[in-house]
Amino acid sequence: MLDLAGVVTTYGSIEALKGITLSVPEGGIVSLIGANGAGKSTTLMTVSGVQTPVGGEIRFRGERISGLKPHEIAARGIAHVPEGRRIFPKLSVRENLEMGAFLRSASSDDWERVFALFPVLKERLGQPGGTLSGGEQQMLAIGRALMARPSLILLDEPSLGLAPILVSKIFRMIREINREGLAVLLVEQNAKAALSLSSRAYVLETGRIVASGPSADLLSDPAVQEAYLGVKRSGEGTSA
Amino acid sequence: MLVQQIINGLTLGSVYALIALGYTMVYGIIQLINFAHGEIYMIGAYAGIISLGLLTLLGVPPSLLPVSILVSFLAAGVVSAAYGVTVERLAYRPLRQAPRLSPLISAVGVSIFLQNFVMLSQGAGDLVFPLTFPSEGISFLDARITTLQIFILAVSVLLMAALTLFINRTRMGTAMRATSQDRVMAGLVGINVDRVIAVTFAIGSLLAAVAGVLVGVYYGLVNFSIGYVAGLKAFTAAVLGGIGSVPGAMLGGVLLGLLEALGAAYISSEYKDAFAFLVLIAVLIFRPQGLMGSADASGEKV
Repeated sequence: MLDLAGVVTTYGSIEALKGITLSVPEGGIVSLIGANGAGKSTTLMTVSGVQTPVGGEIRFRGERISGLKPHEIAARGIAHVPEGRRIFPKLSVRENLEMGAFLRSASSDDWERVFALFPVLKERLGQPGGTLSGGEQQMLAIGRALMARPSLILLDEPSLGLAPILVSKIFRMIREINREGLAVLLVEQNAKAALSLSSRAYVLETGRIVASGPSADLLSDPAVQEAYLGVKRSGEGTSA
Repeated sequence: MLVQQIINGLTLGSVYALIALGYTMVYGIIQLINFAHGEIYMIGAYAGIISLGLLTLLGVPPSLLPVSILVSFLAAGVVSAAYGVTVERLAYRPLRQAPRLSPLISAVGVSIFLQNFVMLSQGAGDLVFPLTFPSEGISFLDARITTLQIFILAVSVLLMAALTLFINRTRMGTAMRATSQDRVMAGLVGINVDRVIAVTFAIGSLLAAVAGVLVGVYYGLVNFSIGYVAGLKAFTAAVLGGIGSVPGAMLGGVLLGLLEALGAAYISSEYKDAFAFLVLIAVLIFRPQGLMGSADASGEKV
């Protein structure tokens, strides 16, 4: 569905992505894990057109989308929930959701679907988005993305800064929307949660993919365990 | 005398408010002080005069008020909006990723260019605005409000009400607010940010053009440099109200008009223009976020 081939993205003279190749199948959940600054967010920003790649290409359902503007990419069915949620703080919850459906006319079905997933949003409709709690903002951000009826959703650190109980709730929601047929590309620092949710994963390190494969394999890979899951390798004595 | 000065101040202030809206809307959406905005207002006044000249050639005398008012508003609005959108496209959009100072300097350059362009193409002298309103008015409380003043107030209030509805109730208006709050996110939800910015310039220019025609009729004379002082005053009004705030620009414009009229009447009419800039300095020192601006924008002034 989504295919990146040798994508290179730069900030000034710094190469943030040094040739990323990955793909997300129709209806799949793929996670992208790695340390801070590895290029995970940049990868998503490049897919959604906020950053224009200087090399390689990105295809969505066979069509080349690299070089298109963000609103053109959104129109093709890719919704991006960026890091930090980026709720429009002074727009009401209702207006935030309406903006999610900017490219189409939201039907009552769309509203019902979002309210069924996140009932709390219904109670907050008239409130400015900026006054919601962190968890509510995350739900609003995902709800806003769903209002576009995308076929692929890019989720950047949906668990960041949330209480553990909310984290598991958000992850349950992600599984639920995926069951409805929506493909998910998930960026997470919480590697364990991401790997248990996704079917396939890529490990990113300083702009390069250093490992990839079925999530279950990565979950049991000692190198991945040590680097990202906080598991100490046994039998290696004092070696750091 | 007090009532009379309040009437005069409100008239002038509502015009300042119309121009100030263009500054504040553009600032709200791309954080640029569009120093060429005063020239867009001036071009509106010229477009009004030219359209009335063409109308006369077609055999319609400017004294046929409803027709000539409508035609001059339309011509001014269309021409100024075209200029505003073109200026954004050519002088600001290429600099959108540049340091903040670059588009600001570009704006000053556009301002000088447009002034000189109009001076060379239309002449350096004053032009008479060929529209006169009947001189009757309504007298009350020792004061008098002319039909023209009533007209100016009515047009301004109507336009501001329409703008408020547009910004708060329409999809495009909501997209404008969304873009001003988070431009990157606006793009991600599918808003064509370039188009929203162009629409913002078009609306701001249209309001300035109407102000240009109104002032042209009010004072009767127009020349290529009228945009300079009017632009600075409207900018002051926008800062007074809180730059980036639409209701703030309306309030700031009206307050500045009142202040000027009262200052001219009770302190000194020779220092009339100085009052506006004293206000600007005072606001920047004591309340940089303006009357209705948010405190977090205070560090972002010019």
